[in-house]
Amino acid sequence: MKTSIPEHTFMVLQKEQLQLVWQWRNSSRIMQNMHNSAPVEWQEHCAWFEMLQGDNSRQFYVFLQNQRPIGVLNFSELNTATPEWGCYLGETNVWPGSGIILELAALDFIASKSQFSHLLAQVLSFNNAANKMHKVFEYEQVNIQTGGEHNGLPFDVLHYSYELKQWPQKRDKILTKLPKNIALAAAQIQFLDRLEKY
Amino acid sequence: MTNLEQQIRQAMQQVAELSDCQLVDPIDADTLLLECGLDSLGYAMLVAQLEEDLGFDPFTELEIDIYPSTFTEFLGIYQQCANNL
Repeated sequence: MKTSIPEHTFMVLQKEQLQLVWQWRNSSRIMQNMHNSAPVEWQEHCAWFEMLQGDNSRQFYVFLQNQRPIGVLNFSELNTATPEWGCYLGETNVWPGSGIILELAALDFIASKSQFSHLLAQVLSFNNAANKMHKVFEYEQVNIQTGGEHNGLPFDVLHYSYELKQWPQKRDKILTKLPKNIALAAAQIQFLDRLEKY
Repeated sequence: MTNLEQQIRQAMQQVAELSDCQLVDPIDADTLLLECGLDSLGYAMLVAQLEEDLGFDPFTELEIDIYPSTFTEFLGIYQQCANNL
């Protein structure tokens, strides 16, 4: 049987991709799950990109599926032992399981760096998809904070932590729980310009 | 509604129950797959379930340049794959 599993690549955000990422960030589907759910002005977005260039504590990747940009994966607090990550799919016409690839890639990438002990994440309580995914990957929920209001209803911010030394043992176990195509795609994840500045 | 569409809708319901997701109602032609109520894991499970039910998986058997975004596009690639059998 012919198999056509897409290749997934993570590439450091380039200036040419700024407009695309800005459009994604300001789409209602993405904004609703952000801490700051207000639209970002273009000038503000450009200023953020400029700040990113000189900041060793943050890294922002564009998620490419068969060379096509479809989302983002970002890390912060990279100058500590406990970096934090976030992601979203900017495009809607994506391979089934693309969100799982983001989750896998975040752990693979950070766990491959010996200076980090835990990977942290924050998810708004109404973002069921992200909360469920973190539970599937066996993140530990370490804190819960009052968030604010979303559509007139109060929400919390859930804090997750993953002990990275567990990832090499757990990775295969988790992959066996997922549809088989995910494991095939997981074998083809690549980061361009790994954290060479470290 | 074609038999294939019916099978896909049934599989969506089955996967939603299995994965503790709530499908939006109604799912119409333009409903985005990422907003139908299934999360990324649910979407991948749906494709695996349909492979079991139908005996084929267009996502591995077809060279797809742009993946489906809406329910109609999703149904379309299953129809295309079924026609190729």
